[in-house]
Amino acid sequence: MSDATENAPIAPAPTGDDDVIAKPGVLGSIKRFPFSIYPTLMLGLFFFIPFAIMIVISFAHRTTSTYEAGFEFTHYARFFSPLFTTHVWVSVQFAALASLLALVVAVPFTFFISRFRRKPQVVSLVFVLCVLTLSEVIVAYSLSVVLGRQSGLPALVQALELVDRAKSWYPSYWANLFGLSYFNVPFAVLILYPACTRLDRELTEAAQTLGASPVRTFFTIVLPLLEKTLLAAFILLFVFTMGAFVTPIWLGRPEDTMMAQLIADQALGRGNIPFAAALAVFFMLVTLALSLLTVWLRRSDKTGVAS
Amino acid sequence: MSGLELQNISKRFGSVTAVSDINLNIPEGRFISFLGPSGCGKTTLLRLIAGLETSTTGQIVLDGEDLTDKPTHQRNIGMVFQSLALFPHLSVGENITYSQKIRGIEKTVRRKRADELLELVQLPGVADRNISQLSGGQRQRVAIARALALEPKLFLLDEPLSALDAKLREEMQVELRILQERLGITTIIVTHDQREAMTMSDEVVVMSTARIAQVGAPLDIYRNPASAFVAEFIGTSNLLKAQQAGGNKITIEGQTFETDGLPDTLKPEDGIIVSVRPEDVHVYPESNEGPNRMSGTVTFLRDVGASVETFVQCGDVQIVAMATPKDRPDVSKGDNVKVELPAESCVVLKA
Repeated sequence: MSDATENAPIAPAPTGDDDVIAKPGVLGSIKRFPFSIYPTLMLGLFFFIPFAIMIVISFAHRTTSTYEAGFEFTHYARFFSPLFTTHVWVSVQFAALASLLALVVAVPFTFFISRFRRKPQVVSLVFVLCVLTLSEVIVAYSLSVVLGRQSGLPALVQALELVDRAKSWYPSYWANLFGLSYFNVPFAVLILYPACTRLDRELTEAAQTLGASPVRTFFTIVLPLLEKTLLAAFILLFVFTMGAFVTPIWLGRPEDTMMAQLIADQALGRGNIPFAAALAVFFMLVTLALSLLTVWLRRSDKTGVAS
Repeated sequence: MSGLELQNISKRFGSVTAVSDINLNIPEGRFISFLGPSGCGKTTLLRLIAGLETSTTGQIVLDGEDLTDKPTHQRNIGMVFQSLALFPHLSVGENITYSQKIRGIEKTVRRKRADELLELVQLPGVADRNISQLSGGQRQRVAIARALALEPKLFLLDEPLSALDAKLREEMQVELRILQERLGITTIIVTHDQREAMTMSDEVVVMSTARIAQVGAPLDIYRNPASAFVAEFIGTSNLLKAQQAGGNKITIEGQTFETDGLPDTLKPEDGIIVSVRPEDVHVYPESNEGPNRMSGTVTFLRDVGASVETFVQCGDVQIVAMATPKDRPDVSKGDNVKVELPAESCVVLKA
């Protein structure tokens, strides 16, 4: 080839690099402007403004039929009546247990899927995603069929003559907990999957060469390495379950009433919009705090396993 | 028999054969290298021995005990992985005594063993540190200590030094060999670095495309490569196309050369290649006369201080000669010279 070609790498490359670097100055920010305005607008329209309205209403004065402008803490004070603290506590319990149960099922499941070869991995994930497409209504209704006396497991138990006369298994505490956990599992899998695939295979292999059985490896290596991810997943599922509405209505007893039901009941059933708003604000703030906690957890993760 | 026996070991991944019909005996206490280019199956073979893969056919026997169907965690092996695979959530000491903890050995005994092993790998006093606080070389030593904690029967290393810089790597090679000699543990290392294999091993297993190309002591393989592949892969070699010329004689570029003998398996009609190591080739001024010489022109001199390489074009073939500065041939680029290929250094191979 000619001398010119041979010399090319030594001479400064004739590129448009300088232009590219110059752009982010004035031109760049103008160009980026519409892109930053879009999310701001969306957040404002669909989050900040409604949230602000809700806050204002939560301090409003309730009249017999509706509410009028005002600034009072009556509705927030009502939280502390035993009726509401009981139901907040019920919601927290359900959310915590349902998240925990979902993780107990999802962690080994996701970990072993992530150790499969590519193809079965994809197939398994597609199945999980299929379950995700089902709405809470369909899941709750299907479970009511499974747990019902006429067609479900109780009928089977009776047919096998294990009991004389079967009762319906729902509505009950356990039916509600089962429904909430079932609905959480695919979400748990999706949250855990990236962290599981990033878990270095050689770490678990090393544990096995050092005499740890696969089960032992799971508990001494895999779980500790996923610690931060598990905590983050737990919080997200917890927040998610706190908002459950259809499942507790369908599968739970009256005493299993959860936060979302309470809010709906106050707003729609009793027409107490300010109190419903106050409940919702409280609920949002707790959720926000927990979500921020997961962001912080993921950032402070040293092993780099958490997503 | 004590030691490791591999009998008819094959491993297929779908339609790909990673390891094909390997037979190998490794006596107790030896240091063996699996050497070959990437994709030759050497790592798969090591993983089969560790039980991290299951073989498609064949048997693995250690000290008379059939290991073939034993899961990894029951094999009593120590392994150092390419990524080292140190547990990031455990301290150095906890990493090293992980295997003891699994066996339920109590804490004070474990602690003592950790200190002992760190002493052994010349890294005393770091048991309480985090893995992230160690340098690459230190992590290497911790990984070795961890693998040796239970005094395993087999010590397996999968390209363990590849992450280290060249100087540290050479130091660790010598250190590893001294450690292995001290402990007398049967050791297999997988490497693609022939220098590394030659530095450390009693025996080198050269592999190419799922099969063993040659097994032997490093210098035997270097001196008497069984094929052009081995000659090329172990060190550098002048591989010259040649013809048989009756008896021990061959011809290269029309010139007749004496050799120390042709392989017994060679048939008269077979084509041949001659392998001559650069350090065995002598370069003389043109006036020099004698047997096993051919004329050529110096095309390039590579003088890097520790050695001098002379590139000589002889007709269609290029011959490289290497000499120490002390024996530097008195020639310069463009000179016509004589090149001697001594009879005892011409290894004749089937083409």
